[in-house]
Amino acid sequence: MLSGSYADYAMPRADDVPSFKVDTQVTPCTHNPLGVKGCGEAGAIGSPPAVISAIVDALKEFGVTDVQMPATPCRVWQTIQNARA
Amino acid sequence: MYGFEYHRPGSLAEAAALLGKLGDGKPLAGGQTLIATMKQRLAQPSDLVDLGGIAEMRGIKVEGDTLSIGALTRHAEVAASAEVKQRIPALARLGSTIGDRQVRAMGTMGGSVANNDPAADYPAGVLALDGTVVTNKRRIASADFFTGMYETALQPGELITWISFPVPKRAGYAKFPNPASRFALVGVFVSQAANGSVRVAVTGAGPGVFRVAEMEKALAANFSVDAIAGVKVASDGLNTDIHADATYRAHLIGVMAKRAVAAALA
Repeated sequence: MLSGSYADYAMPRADDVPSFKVDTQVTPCTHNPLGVKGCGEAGAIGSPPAVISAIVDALKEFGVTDVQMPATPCRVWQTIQNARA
Repeated sequence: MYGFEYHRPGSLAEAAALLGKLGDGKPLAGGQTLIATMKQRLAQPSDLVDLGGIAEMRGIKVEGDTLSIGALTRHAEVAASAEVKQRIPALARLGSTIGDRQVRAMGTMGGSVANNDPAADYPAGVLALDGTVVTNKRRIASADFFTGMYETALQPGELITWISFPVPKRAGYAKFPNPASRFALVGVFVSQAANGSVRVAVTGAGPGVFRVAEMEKALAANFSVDAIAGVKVASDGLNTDIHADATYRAHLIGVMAKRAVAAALA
């Protein structure tokens, strides 16, 4: 744990969150006859890759193919610098 | 939080006398740093002297070409003040970017300046605007006031009463907020005085607020974004922490300075 409190840990607040739409994509499991699968914390599983994919997409002109979490402003900037080097 | 005695004097003289008498007493303004620090048991004052009842340290005054703000004036009051918006709009804007709504409703200019947090916004404004810190004992030029990380020229028992600003020709403030705390990851205040001289003050980037002489010189000759586009600030001595490293902060100084100049010209 690197942070000492929420003054260091960037917990998103209401005014940090953009508008978004929630939708479901049904993909039956192929490994059992019922097509069912266990799922928990769907938001926690889906949203980080969605955000990172959006950042990678935004940086595509620099040839960036991956950004490690947490995608702090500093890390995004360094990723661009490294891609340019 | 540890136990403490609470005092609420009704006048500046009474507050100063109390602080002189109490060995380990601390003045309490808006409490946005001190109370949090006490809750975390990082501070253990024996007594708190609440300045909130002292009317003579609160308000916004205009006298000629000088704007004066009482030490107990809250950030939200500075941000909303018609006098501040008219004479130094950049200072009103700075006030509007501090912390969050709750912090701005309680935190005070005097408290922020006296605390001199290396990432606080007001020190950049006070230094760039060539402000004068008025205390119950003397007047201190901003250039002499901020002496280091959380360090100021204030003596024990000395209280900021007002802060005076000569109205500049133009000024701008740009801040890259830390996404967690909303303190300045880097904030740059640029001000051109009525006589044409320029001050560029940086907060958040180093151990304390500092000026960038090369940018000041370039802007005094030609007050434009292009004038400082080529100025590179060295990362030596700048802060590295979990939020950003010194190289990124050095880069942000250039970006924020250009945005501050653009804001001053807008």
